[in-house]
Amino acid sequence: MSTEAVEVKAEGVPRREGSPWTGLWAVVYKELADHLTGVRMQILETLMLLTAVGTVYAATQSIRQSIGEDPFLFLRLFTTAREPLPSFVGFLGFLIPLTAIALGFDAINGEYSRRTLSRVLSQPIYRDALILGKFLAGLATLALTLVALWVVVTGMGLFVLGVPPGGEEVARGLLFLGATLAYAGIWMGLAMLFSAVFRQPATSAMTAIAVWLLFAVFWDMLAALVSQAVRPTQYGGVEEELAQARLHLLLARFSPNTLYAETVIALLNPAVRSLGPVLITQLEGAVLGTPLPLSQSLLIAWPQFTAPVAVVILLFAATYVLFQRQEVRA
Amino acid sequence: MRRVWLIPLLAALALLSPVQAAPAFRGLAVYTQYPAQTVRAGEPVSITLNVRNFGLPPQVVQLRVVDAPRGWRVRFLAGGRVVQAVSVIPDGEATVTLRLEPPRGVRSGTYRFQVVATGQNGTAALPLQITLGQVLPPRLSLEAELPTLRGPATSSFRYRLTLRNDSDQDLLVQLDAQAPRRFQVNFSLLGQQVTSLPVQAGQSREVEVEVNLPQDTPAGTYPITVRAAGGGASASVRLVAEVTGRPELRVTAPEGRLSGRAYAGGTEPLRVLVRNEGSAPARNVSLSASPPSGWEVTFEPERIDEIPPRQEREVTARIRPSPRAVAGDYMVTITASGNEGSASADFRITVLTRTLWGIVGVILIAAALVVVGQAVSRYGRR
Repeated sequence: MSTEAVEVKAEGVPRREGSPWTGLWAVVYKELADHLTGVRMQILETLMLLTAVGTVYAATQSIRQSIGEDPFLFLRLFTTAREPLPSFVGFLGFLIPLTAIALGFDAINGEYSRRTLSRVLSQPIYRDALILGKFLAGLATLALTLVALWVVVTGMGLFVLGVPPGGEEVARGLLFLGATLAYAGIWMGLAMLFSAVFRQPATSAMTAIAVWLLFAVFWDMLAALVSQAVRPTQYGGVEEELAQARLHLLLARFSPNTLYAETVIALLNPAVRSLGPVLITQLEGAVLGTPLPLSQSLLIAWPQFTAPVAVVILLFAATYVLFQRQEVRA
Repeated sequence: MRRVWLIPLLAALALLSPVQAAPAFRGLAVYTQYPAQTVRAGEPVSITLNVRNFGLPPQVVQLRVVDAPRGWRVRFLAGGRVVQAVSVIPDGEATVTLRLEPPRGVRSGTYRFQVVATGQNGTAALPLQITLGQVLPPRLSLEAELPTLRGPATSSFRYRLTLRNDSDQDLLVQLDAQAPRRFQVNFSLLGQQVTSLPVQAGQSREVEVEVNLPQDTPAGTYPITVRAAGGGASASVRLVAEVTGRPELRVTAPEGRLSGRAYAGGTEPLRVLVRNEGSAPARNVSLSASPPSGWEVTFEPERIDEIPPRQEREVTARIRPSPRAVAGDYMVTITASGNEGSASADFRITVLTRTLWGIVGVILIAAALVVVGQAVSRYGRR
């Protein structure tokens, strides 16, 4: 039965040959050039650079005042906040979704509205290569921006603190970079998905921003509300409170913001031992404040690290399927 | 009748006795405490003379020496100058020093002098006899109050010695001690450390001897000989330090590494060394640990019968962290307790979590990639 169905389909649609990814790199380079020269990205990149310089400068001032001996001085550059500025990581948490959405919200419907899609597809390029090329170019732009930021932060740290970062600090910083890229990839993938769903770029942009607002502002409140309703603390026992905290954490972890925050905490603060609720009996005899080895820190945040990567791939798959099934010659 | 004349006799006796206790001597007296002396040849002799007036009016008393041997220089000194006469009030007394300087090359033997004090109504004479040459040899004596002390090697042994100069001249006494190797012997006098001290003729001094032992001195009896020498004389005393032994346990690890790693829920061996740093064997040493709750620590062997002094035994501790232990460093105290005393050490155990769950994340990403592959094969090449 199944083989017959495939054959019927093959007869209905003229069968095409060759690799679906022909011309992929041409698309990637073209899109990358568009992103990097576009005014939209330049504004956002300038904004990110300014916040990076500002927050890291504030962090170095506070580090020089308060912290004398810390084996992970460079990691503190990312996480130290000084009133009234939030930390560098805090700024990244809401600047990165904006940048990623800006990169992806008109990826496909923009081509429709400019009426350039049929012209592109008249070239010997499959749609597969076009969509993957756009996706990869977006990721590459984000990666470039993040690496540049990371280098700026590390360079400023070298300049102001006067000590070179250790090997483990560099490794943790690079893993943090990877986690940030995955977090950015989610928002870009979401924006591209919406750009395939909606015909108007404004609609897809607004929808993507609405989803971001939902997760950034309201999700935690909703999770708290639901967990209190489902697991109320009627008698005030430890078991009840633990169950409620666990449910709250489980619901909160559906938000990419929570996952990203947890990954960042585990990677940039080596003293963190667990991301969930910990019983006091589990900490008996523990030497608190001692750093975990990198492998153990990574293991703690491994689900939070891998889930966004998988979500990015799945978002791409969904966008791909939607785009492939669309009528492009309208 | 008999009774009647006995009573006046008793009364007369009672009246007589006070008169006998204080005889009414009137006149001048010149005297010294030691009128015959033996002194070292060639040295001047000083003799203290007292001139006393018993019941005479105040008067000036002329002093002189008659009958002095040839060549001797004789002077009376008082108040730092040479005097010829003293003035005495009734029942008063004057003190002068008679200084006799022998001539150069005087021969040993006995010389006689006669001191004459001449007042206005009385005269007194005092014969003196000076023998040259036959003096006492210098002699020292050294005695310990408690010559044998007992204690552990970690404490210091303090002996109190009495050094006496039994001769007629002041001596500078040198102190030294013969003790086993690496023993430290110090002499102190009035809280100050000394190596030599002056002792005046006929006087004695208290010297404290402090002996410090190396801490690893085995139990036993150690003799220490203290010798005092000066002016050709010497004395010695034998002191004994009885060192009592004591086992002293210490818990450590090979190469001093007091740390280990273990997986949560997995058993990991940890090598522990129990060392006896004391001077007596440690017996019946048992091992125990105080780990966090939910942990298991067993020892192999759990008991050591005996550890000789300055030897060590290796014990394997099997540590099993709680399966619910959170990754990170924990302190586990391992205690070795013997019959006399115990010792403990904190071991730092780094708990690791299994990487099993890491594979799940990889599978998740692989599944997402499979979905993409399926989508490409289904909708690809359009």
